Amino acid sequence: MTGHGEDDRRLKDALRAVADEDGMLGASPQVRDRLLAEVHAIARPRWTRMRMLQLAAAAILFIAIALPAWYSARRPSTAARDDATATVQPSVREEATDFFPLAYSNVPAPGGYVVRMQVPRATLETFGVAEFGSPDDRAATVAADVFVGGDGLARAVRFVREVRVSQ
Amino acid sequence: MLTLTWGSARFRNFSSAGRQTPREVEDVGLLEAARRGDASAFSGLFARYQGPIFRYAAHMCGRDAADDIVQETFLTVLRGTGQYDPSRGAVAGYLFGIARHFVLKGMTSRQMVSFDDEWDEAAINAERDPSTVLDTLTREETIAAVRLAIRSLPPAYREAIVLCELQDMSYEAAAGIAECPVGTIRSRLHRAKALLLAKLSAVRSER
Repeated sequence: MTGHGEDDRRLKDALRAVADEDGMLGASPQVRDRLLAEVHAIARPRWTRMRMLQLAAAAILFIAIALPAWYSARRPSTAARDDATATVQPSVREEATDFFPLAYSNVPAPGGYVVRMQVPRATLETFGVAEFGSPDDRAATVAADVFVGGDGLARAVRFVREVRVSQ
Repeated sequence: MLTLTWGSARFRNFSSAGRQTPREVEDVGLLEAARRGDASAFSGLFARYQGPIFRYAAHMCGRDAADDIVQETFLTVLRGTGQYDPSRGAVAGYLFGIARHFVLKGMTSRQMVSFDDEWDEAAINAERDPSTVLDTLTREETIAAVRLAIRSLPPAYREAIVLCELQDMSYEAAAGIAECPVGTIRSRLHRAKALLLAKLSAVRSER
């Protein structure tokens, strides 16, 4: 072995000794803490974004489920209302007699108004229209429109009834 | 496939054959998870590589700068500004590549100029005492003298010594990090050792 060969061996050993002594060297804990803070800063917006996506997905899911359900729940009631309208509204109409003069019919009236009221059924006979009341109608009263003058005196009356009409 | 070694643990680096060891695959997983904000993955990656990178940086730029270089290296990784391409090598090489960028950035302009291949022929060819130059020094003195001698080496040689001798990397791994051919690393290492011996011989002469 030459002197240079021995030197090389010794140098290698010396470098190994340096490497061994360096073995425990490392970055300070502050560096690690700063970097971990950076990692957490990265994680935070990601978490928030993920949360927003989850909420958006939940909202979409809710709408997707609730909307058809709401529609299906709404449809029968609409139909029922339509049915009711179809049976009640077009099948009933009013018939009325002519106006009959009352005691003050000859007193001039400065304007006036019509009041709908219920009067005893017997009143029909008094005015000679007993047949106007339907025999099926067992109510004790009939509807009457009374024309009242602007002075508060009744001038005329007519009788009203509802007639069912099949469509 | 090339191998680099740090201490007793052996790592494969710059997998030119395309195959990765389980540890390399694990490193990639840790890197990607850390970038997604996984603190435990980051801690695992940091624990593996902060020491070697710190020691590399400390030898190249001094211990005061080493902390900053470790921090900047991992910040670059976390912020994704340095894109990692697994096909180009292992995570270890990727991290050292980033660290080297900051090492070069941190060097003074004078050091940058001297980073190129240059050597003190006169010092290398100086007459050396045929007896061993280290046999009269104690272990502590030897370590101190070697540290001093390493610090005085031109950066390119210092890097070769630090990567191949102190970090126990293969020539190929060191060449990958130093971005030079393997032959260049070999010759830098050879000259670095010759310079170290010359400097240590001078230390002995002074005693």
